[in-house]
Amino acid sequence: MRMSEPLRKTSGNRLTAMMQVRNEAGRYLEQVLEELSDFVDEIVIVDDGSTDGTARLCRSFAKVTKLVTLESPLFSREWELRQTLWELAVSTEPDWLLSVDADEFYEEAAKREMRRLIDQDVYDWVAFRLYDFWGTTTHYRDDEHWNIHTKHTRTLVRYLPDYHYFTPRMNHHVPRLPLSYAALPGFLAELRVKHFGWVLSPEELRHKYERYMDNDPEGRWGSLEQYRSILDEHPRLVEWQERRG
Amino acid sequence: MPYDAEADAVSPERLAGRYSYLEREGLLPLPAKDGVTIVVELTHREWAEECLSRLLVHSGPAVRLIGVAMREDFQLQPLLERFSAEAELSFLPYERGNYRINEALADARTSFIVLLEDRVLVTAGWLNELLWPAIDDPATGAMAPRSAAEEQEGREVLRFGNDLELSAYVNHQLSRRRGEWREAGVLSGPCLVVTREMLQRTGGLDFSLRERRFIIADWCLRARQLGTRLAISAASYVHVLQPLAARAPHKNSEAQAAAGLAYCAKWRIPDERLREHGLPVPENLSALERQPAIPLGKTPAALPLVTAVVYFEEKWPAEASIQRQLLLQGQQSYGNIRWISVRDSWTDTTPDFPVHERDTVITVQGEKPWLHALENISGMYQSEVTVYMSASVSYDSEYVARIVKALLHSPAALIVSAAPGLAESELPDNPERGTAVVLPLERTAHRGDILPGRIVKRESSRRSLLLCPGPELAVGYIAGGPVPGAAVPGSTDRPSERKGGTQP
Amino acid sequence: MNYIIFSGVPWDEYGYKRMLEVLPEREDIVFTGTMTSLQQEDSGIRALSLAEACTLPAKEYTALVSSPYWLQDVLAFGPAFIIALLERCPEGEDVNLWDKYSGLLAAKADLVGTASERLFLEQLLSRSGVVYLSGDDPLSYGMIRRGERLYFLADFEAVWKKALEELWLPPDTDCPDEPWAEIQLRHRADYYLSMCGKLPQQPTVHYLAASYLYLLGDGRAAELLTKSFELMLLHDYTDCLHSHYRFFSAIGAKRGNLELAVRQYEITAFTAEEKALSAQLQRWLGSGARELVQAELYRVNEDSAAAIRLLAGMESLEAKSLLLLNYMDTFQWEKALRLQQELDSMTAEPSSLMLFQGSGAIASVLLQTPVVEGTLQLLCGKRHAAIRSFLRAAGADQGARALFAEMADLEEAVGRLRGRTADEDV
Repeated sequence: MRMSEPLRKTSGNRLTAMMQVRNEAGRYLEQVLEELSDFVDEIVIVDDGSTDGTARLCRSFAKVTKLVTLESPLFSREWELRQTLWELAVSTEPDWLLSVDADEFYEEAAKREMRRLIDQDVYDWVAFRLYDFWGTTTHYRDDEHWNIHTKHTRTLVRYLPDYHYFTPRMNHHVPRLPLSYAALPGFLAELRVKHFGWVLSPEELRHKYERYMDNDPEGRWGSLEQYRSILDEHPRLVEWQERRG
Repeated sequence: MPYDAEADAVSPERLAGRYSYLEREGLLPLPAKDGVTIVVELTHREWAEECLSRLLVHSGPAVRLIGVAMREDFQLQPLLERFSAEAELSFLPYERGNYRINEALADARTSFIVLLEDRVLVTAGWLNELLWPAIDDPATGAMAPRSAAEEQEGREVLRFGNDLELSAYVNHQLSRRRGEWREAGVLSGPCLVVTREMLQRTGGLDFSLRERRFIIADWCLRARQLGTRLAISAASYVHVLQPLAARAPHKNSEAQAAAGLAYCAKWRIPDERLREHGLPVPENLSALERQPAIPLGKTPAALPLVTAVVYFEEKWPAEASIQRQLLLQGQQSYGNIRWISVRDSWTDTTPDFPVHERDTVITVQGEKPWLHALENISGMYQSEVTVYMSASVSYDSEYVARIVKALLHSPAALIVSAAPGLAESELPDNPERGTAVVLPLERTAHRGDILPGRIVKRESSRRSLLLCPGPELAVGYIAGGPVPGAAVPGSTDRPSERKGGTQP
Repeated sequence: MNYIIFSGVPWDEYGYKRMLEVLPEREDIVFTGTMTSLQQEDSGIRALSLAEACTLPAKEYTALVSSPYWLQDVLAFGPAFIIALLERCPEGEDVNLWDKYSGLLAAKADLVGTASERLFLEQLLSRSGVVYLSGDDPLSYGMIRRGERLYFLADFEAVWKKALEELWLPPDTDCPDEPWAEIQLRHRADYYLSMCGKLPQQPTVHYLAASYLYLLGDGRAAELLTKSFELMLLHDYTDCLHSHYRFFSAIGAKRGNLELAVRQYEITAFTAEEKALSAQLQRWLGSGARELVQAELYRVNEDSAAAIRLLAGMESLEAKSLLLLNYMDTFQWEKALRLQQELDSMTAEPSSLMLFQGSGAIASVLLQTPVVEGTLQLLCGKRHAAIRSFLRAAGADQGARALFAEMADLEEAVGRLRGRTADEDV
């Protein structure tokens, strides 16, 4: 089988999107799955114990080929959750994997470039710029605590079957893809991803803040200052500009 | 300035200085009227001479040394030549299966005895300081210097480039800490001084523990059970050399593991404590049953351990098989046998019957596993000799003693006893080594450190068994025992010089 | 045994005085250079000028050479045994020249010793007969008596003594003790395994433990390397694909798990040359040429010593060509030249050698031949022949100037060395 073809293919790569979800009904999941269905070959999902119609919604998409619903949520054991999703994703024998959250949207240019990004044998991962939209889907936040877009985030990776995949066994803030990719060559793409996870009303923001503080009151996994900045009344917001074709 | 005699008279520093001088110059007698016996375990060909020379130079005139060869390949001859002029030094050659340290200890007539490995290098004044704790406190019966090879309180790992540095350190310690010693929980190192009284009460070393550190620790623990106190001398230090190479490392580690398990079992220590750093000791010694003393000298305990494998070829009625087994056990005169019976539950309906603690009954189901178990006994139970005995055969009471003695005096790996009444002149011809031979299992014994070969059924309706030894193994023969009821004059227990076996 | 010292520094600064104390069967010892009469008396070593030393019966002496720039003189002297004492390039010396001639000295030596653990590991991957002359174990592993004095031997000193003794008295094959090289590897491995317990977050100690276990053929190597690789990633030292991950392929090769090892190598193959080799490994695997796969995996992991052990007994053209590469990489140039002549006689055209390889490695070896010949001639004191060879090499790639510059640099370095040890102004 693989004896005849190289490890890194310059054409005909299969792309599998991987996603973990939890009670996503009524939010962005349907739109995310619709968009993903346009540019990936398969979608695998781990449903971390949803109690709403999330699983049913997932199943309604033809490209969702694998869906695992966990009986009891692994939310507080993040490493195990990541590991479950990873194993599910690699079971599709993909060439590439795209790690997507249920509230992330790749901009048009990124979707257009996706095939060119993976049909090459020079690098093994691609990182994008993620933008945290705040309160609205027209503006992203850009200040001291909310500037993830100034760096690149690795979300698209080549699957190399015999590589050593290592994910730190932590309960929170586990990287979404194995750390081992850091040792492989990658490409920092000037392409953007919209993250709508913070497109929330002030009440919802307070609720989310409280959940963070409950989980991590001493700021062991993240910075307390950043948690507090969730409640900023006047965050610095920048209007999103779509790029022209 | 006038001489202040009174002030000087009470100066302990000055007295200590004078004492040191006398000791350094070798002018001090040992605090033991009848001298000291030093038993040296000879293992390291390249170090033994230096060790003995230093002992002779630095121990004073009142010592007697006994060198005991601990390995079969230890060459005593060069030492005999080198030390031929030393009247106070004698040697005990190696004897397979006989732990001669106990013999040497039994010979010691002095009130102090030192047991020491030949990797220990002593310095001037080393011995005097080690005797004092037993005089300071008569309850103290075993003393050790600090060294890199003690495992508990006495462990002292120091780097020395040469003997000058070593002597400087030792003299400094002696002058600074003379007379200091403290009680220890256990000692396990390469140099141990015991009182004759301790030795007489505790007995000899339990060599069945195989590894030296466990043997010494066991000795000390047994002494403590009898109320003897152990001491580490803070002022004395001996330098210990480490072997660079591990001989056959894998074999060693298995033997070490077995030794550790045996020690733990004896002292009711959980096995997992072997993984801890250092030597494990029982938490509460006084709560444990008192261990028996090991007789000194050439006593049954010094007899090599023999594993006797009894196998039942035919179906025996329950009561009869028990009787048979007990009869076989009771008949043999040899004093150190571990009995293993291997039963096939298809042919053997015997219920379990009581056995001694070290004896074992192995029950398997079916002929193949039964043969397999027989083939592997020697790998499972370490002993000096394995003797196979059939429940269907009669043996005279000297059978095991005779075949063991023959094996221990023979270069052969296997010994076959000829049928009863067969004289030496009638023993089988000797084919070339390497020719396939088969041996009657019920009259065969082999050295414990080999795997004897395959065991098969004889071509007959009975389940009589044959042993097919590996071609590399030399086979020796001895004449058979007396025919039951008849005295056979001139039967010999020396093996014939022939090799090979009967042709199938 | 008599010993003659060729030092890179004056006697005062000579760093191996302790090793001289524990030389086995020590008789006459000569220091090439100057010593005061007091120094000679204290050390029991006599000093001779190079010219005087050359009159000694060379075959009765073992040479201890601690500067590579003595190599020409040592070869001219022709001692019974050459012991190379390798050091990192000192301040003020040209590092390329130093490393090249250190490599050539090591290749010529009967035994190599070094107190640098990095050089020790490098040398272990190049050849057998390498002793590490340092260590952390305070225990004594033996002793040596010289007159009134008794010297206690640290573990590496006991190994050094044993290694030297075996030069003139090969070990008894009937009852083999553990070979000294293995003993030392085991001691180093045990040391680093204990360090891993003390420093569980330190990637380097895990890597070194893995390295020694690999050299011992111990299966725990992969486990330790995995831990080291993970710690590198956790500490954000991400430049570890070649240094760490590729090492898995050597470990796999040693364990005979070649399919996995080849795939692991392929993960690390990005340059055209690496990709071509990766494809070649797949082809060899497909055709059952497993030893070639194994040997090449060793070589790309810089373990030429293991590759040479494997290839030396093989007869095929491909095996011999790979052997040639390994000889070249480890400065065993005389063997390389002999092998190349043998290969030339096996094939009508040199180009046929290159066909199967698919990479530039063999081609560049063939181009280097005159340089290799020239360097060896230079070492044997055949200066004119060397110049002719260098000119021949220059015809191929216009590099004559660089070669002559190197020749001049070497002559200058040798001149400085002689001046230093003879305590003259330079």
